[in-house]
Amino acid sequence: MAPPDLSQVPAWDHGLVLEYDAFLNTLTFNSKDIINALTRVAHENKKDAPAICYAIESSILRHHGDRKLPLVYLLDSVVKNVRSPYLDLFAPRIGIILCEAYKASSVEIRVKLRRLLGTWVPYFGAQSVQALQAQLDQIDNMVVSSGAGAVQHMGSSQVAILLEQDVRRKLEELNRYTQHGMPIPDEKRTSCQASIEALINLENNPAKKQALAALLAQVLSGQPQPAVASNAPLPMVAPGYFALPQQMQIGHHHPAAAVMAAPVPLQHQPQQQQQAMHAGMDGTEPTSHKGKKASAAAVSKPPKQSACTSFGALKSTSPDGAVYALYDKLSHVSKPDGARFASKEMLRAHLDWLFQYNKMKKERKNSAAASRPWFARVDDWQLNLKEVSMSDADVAAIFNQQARGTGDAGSQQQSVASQQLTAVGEARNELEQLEVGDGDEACVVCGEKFDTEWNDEREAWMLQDAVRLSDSAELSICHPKCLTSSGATGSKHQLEAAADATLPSKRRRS
Amino acid sequence: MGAEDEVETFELEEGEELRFEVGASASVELQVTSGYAEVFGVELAQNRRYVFRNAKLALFTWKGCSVTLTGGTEVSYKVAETPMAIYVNAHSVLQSKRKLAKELKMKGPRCIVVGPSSCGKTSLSAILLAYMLKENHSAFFVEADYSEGVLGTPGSIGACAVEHIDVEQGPLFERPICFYYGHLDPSENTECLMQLYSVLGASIDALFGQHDELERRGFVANGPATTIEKGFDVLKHAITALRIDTVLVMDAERLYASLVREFKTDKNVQCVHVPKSGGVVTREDAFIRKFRNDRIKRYFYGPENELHPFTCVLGFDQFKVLRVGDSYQTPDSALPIGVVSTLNPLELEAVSPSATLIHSVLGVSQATDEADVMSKPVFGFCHVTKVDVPKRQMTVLAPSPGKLPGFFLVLGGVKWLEG
Repeated sequence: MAPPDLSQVPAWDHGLVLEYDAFLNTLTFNSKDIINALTRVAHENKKDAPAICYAIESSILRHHGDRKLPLVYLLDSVVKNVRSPYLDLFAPRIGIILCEAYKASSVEIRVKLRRLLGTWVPYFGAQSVQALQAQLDQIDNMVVSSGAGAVQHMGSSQVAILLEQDVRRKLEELNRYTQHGMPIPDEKRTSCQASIEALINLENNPAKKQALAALLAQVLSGQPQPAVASNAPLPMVAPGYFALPQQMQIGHHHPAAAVMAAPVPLQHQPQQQQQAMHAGMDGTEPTSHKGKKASAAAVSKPPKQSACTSFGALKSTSPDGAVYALYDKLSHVSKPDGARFASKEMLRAHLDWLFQYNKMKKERKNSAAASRPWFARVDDWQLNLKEVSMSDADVAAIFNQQARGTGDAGSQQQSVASQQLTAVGEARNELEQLEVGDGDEACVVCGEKFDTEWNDEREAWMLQDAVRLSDSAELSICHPKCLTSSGATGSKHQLEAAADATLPSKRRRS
Repeated sequence: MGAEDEVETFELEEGEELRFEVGASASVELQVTSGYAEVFGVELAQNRRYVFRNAKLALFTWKGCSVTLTGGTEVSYKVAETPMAIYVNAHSVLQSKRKLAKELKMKGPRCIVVGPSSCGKTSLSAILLAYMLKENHSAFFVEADYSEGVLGTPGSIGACAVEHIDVEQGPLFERPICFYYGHLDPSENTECLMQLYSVLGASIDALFGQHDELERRGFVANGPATTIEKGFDVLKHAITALRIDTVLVMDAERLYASLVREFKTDKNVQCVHVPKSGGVVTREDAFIRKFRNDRIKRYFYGPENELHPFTCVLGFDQFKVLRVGDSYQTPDSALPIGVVSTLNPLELEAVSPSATLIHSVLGVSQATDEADVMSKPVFGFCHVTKVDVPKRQMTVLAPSPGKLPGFFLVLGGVKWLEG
């Protein structure tokens, strides 16, 4: 199913509409659970009500037959359970939507829709409901004929909707050409012209006629129309695009402007638009201006753009929305490695990790004992998503704990992860600080000497990064890292046994 | 040294890509001096020197950038036409599905990238993984390409959560689960391979069942090289076994059409055709062989030669080498008409240690019972360097010191000649 038509939605709502529309696509049958879930989403996102409202409406209009009913039920559920502000947003166009759904439905579903309508009196008022019932009667009496005949039976307002959608689609196409700086092919222009002319003929409101005529002139001259800004809070579309005059739109920010509604007072004259166009051209540059050199300061902050939400639109959707989500939206940049984050806390956590990682990398390069551990047992893997990150102290604690326990050979087979978990808590206090003895201490595993550091408190040189292997009299110390790499478990006895059986490979290549 | 110190400067505009190749013995320093650039979806830091060796790379920019390359590249050129817009949109669709799954507490998107060999599958899955990580802080990768076996050695499949990606070294697969097939060709033992996909799928489901956030986020899988003629049934099985819902088919339109037809009745599987990048280099067999050798070396010695494997001498009573199925299985076509081979392809056959094992890469099974070998992952791999039959001793290279953690060693056809 094609994505919703976004040309009439303010750019900053595109993402929301598409997102909610993707949710709506799950509503393929009448499922109370999904309707409840979607109602909850609507409830939690009241601030985005216009976008959600638009998504629901356009979805009801776009989908065929069976799909319409659950969507109407959703609308019903949102109106009844969340009420404000949705009730007011839906009210102006509820007539069109119900009629459209009704027309497309079989007799059984029509009955259900009528039943539903009966429950709407407390929400939309008795008058509206009565008027709607009359409209439904009319539809029932309509002789169903095929093909072009069916169009004739539709009220002129429906024809207007179809035409308007057609024009919108064509404008969108033209916009795509101008966006990419390509000339508009003549046949596209002509077909767009024909649609706009048809729309002008259908239109009764002189102001709208005038606005459409101006649009037509622009399309013919190939001069892109700028933001239809003037007294709207923000431009409805990015500058440089063709767009329908605002009062024609089924814009949710102007519910009264919907096709069904009474004519609205003219909001702006085409001439004002003309001025706005010049202002737009001189002032704001289109954000995706090709050839603009990017510099450190040039990360633009455009309004949230629509990101692609359907595999059918992979090729036709601009990547801007997706790129925005991957770059501009993640504004906290880690300078050392270029990673991006949405919040300061995440960035800080990442920097902490990066520091540890770089340290580990450096150590590995300089040490002769780094090796790849065996993979985790499948049961541990399923329980713990990642290895409990262990500091050297933690490793030492585990080691001590084990060394004090039995030197049972079977313990080597024991799961490492579970012990790590229990040990981590008490770990830090247990790390024993080791003073430098004869200055010749070396790790029993890798054979490398330890780094030393002066400790003011103790007034002695301390071994860095060293753990005592056991409480035995003779001093056997090693790097905590060597312990983890040497199979991560094992008492001193095992380690010695291992040292006998295994020799660090001499065949290490340069 | 003159040629090696050569500095090339490039100005890229938004949507452009810089492709360059670094020879086996050369190294090239890459630096982004302004703007924003990414390599396989991973954003680079500005003014940091990245060093690449023996690599074919594409640097892409969404925002425009200037870069310098120091050292001798074999080739370097700029292109404006790339399918990156389609790739990022594909990510965007997956991302919207993840949001939806979270909101509605459903299963997240499980996506696999498939296509014939050398079509850029690995690159696209790397890009999707990097984007997934960027927007979610955690990603999940499934290696379904047994010939690549990026988590272990070639001949293995597996899965791993990814939290960080190092531009020079690739994603950090810190805690993978790995199953060993032992062959690089799907027809070697199709049943065995299918069985492994089933267990891998079950293991992932078990993990996802424990961690809601994983289930909602789904995964990105790198699919096996597939054509309609070769590996198609295995791929079909893998898609079902891993409960995949999105199949991105690269380039091969015939394969795409067949997959669409295959999954027409299955509403849960959506097949999407994506173009391949013009930068894909067709790799010759020799390159692929070298690449696989490097993979095995990387398992034992690390990407930068920083790891130290250990040599371990095992008595014959300390292990048991098993082979899955009979390697001398007669093809059905060679049997008399109407006769079906009665050999069970999943049956385990004990292999007595002999000099023929030398150079083989063995999977160290986590099974404690021989019957579980086909349903358990491996602890890792070891490489047979010497078999002394009179002394009843076998010498293997193992990644870690100490005894091997498992008793059963799985033998396949993968061999490695160090050096």
